[in-house]
Amino acid sequence: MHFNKIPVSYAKALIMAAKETGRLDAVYNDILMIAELIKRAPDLRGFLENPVVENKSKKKFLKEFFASRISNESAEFLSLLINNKRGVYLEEVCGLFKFYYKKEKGIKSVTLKTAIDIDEKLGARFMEMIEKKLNSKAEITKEVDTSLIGGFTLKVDDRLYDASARAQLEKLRSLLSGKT
Amino acid sequence: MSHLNPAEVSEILKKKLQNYQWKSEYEEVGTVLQVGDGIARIFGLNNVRSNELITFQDGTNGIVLNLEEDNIGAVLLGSSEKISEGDLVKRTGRIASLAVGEGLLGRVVNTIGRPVDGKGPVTGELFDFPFERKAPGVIYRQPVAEPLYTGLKPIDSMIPIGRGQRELIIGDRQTGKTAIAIDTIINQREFYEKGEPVYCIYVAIGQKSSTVARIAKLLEEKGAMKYTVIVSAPASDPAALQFYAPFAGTAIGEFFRDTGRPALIVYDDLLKQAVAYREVSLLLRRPPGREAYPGDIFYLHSRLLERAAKIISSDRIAAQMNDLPESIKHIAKGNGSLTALPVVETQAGDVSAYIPTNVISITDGQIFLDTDLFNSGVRPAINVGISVSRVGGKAQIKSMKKIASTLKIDQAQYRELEAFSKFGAELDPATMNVIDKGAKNVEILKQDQYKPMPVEKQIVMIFCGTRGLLKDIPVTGIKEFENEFLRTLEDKHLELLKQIKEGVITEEITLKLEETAKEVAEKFIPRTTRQI
Repeated sequence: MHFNKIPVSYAKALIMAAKETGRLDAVYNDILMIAELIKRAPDLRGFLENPVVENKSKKKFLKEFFASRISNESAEFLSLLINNKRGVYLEEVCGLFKFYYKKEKGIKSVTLKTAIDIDEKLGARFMEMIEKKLNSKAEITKEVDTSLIGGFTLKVDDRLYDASARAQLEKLRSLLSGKT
Repeated sequence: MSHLNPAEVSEILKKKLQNYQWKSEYEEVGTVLQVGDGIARIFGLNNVRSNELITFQDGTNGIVLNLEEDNIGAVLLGSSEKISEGDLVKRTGRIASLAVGEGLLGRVVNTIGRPVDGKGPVTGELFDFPFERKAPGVIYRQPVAEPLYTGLKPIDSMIPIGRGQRELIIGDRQTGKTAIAIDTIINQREFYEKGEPVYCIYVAIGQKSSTVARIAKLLEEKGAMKYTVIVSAPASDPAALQFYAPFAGTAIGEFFRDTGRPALIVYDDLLKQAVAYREVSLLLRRPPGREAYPGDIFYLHSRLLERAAKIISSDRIAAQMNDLPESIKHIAKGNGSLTALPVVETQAGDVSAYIPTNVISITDGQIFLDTDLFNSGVRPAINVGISVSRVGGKAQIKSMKKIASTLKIDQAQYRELEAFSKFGAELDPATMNVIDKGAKNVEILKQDQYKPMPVEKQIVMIFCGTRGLLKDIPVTGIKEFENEFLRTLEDKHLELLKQIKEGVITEEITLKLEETAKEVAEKFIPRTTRQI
């Protein structure tokens, strides 16, 4: 996530365009794929950022590379980004697009951090519980963070439920030392 | 070897632990996008309010200043060393504030109210006071009517300051701006000893830590620390702490003001605060204006100085004051005051620069200090011609008002004619008289540093000057005359001085003063003059 205004405008524009043509989900899938690709292949990012490479060849490459794999809207968007010499921001645009898409669809991003690895069964129960409580779809990421000592933390968008041993100990410490 | 700390007795620990609850709550969090230069950009925290205190993962606090569409900008109240991109940031739900109480007296604290003098934690009951608070509304105020004595002859006679007034001290570097402020604080000792203390707050912004230490030591030596709080935001502090320091000082002042007591606050200096604010504003990418200061630099100073006020004497009305912190509602009283003495440094005497003109227009008058006067030995180097006090005149006691009424005009005339005398031209006796009287007055108005003078002594000395009783004494003998004359009065006419202090001035008193002055002057008149 970045506080630059440029990727924000592009991401919002893409959302609006995709909504108009009614292919929001298709575009979302494309974006997910592109984001994954950039993450896996740092060379691709270097290529898109490189000012020495001409726009023409960048476009040609992208066209050949993605060919039929992505929708027209996404392909159009990629060439617009390259034309405007904003290839640098592709990664950020993808990130923001995901954020706005989830907001649009009412999907919550949930991060569950636990001190120890939890098994599938417990994870599934957690998920079920969370979706029921939130009353909306949720996208869950699981992480293991040993610094929690014990317990778990649950982050839903920008709210955090901290039920870790670390937080409790911290609370106890501040109570005893008199500092707030 | 382990020593048991009194706070570690089992009973006390147990009580503390009783408050502890194993409970987790939903908290609002955001993530750090960027951190550096004392500011942080944060994503999330959608419900955070402007000026709210936030906590970073490592315990550092910050204050939210910018609320933008998809991120927030906050200043850090500490170092950014342990904060990194992606860290969690929590809301506290509290507006930035500091803990204020009687225990702060005699202490040196930083902007967030933590003691920095190594004397341990602040004791006594503490109340939460916000940094930013609206100034008292019109109905909660009353006009300035009581004097606030600086103990300096030129100020108390010609540019009097009243309680609740805002008087700017302005001048180049090395002209004695801080000296005036410090003298004023020292002069309040008289009232502290009388049991009617004027609580003083000295806010050092962007100064050297050594300077702050020197001032603290000096005030200690002069017995002034007992009723003084020093808020220190030295040059090594982050810019955010520097520009919040005056607000912290004012919050302390408001505690005394709103509990019905008089307080005096010195901001030393507001130019440095403006520079710190500019730094933060530019880093937060607020648009720069004149001299790269942000557009709200005037508002920064006006809202600060507007909080200096004389509160209405009715306790009932004062207790309903706007924005009064909940915590002190039960002890709120009327008739308190907060007098502000902001200091602004000018560059090469340029009072028409941006910040000086701003602050001049906000305050109720200014004391202008002049490098040339300072170098020619006139100290305090107050340029009477362009110094004014717009409301203080009402606060002067009767005796001072009567005696010093002509002093300002006399001195203005003297300054005008002084130029002639330098050419060595032949002058008529009337002119010579004016020049002679002016020169003697200048001598009378000189005063040593750290030696504030009680008002009655000031009055009798100025009386000698304005009545021309020193005509025959050479300029070099004035200082000695002053010492001798004041000693004589203390020995023989103590009652008289007391009356003058109360503002009484009668024909009888003036006659007696004149008589004594002539008697003492006799000793200082050179023989040659006496023969004529």
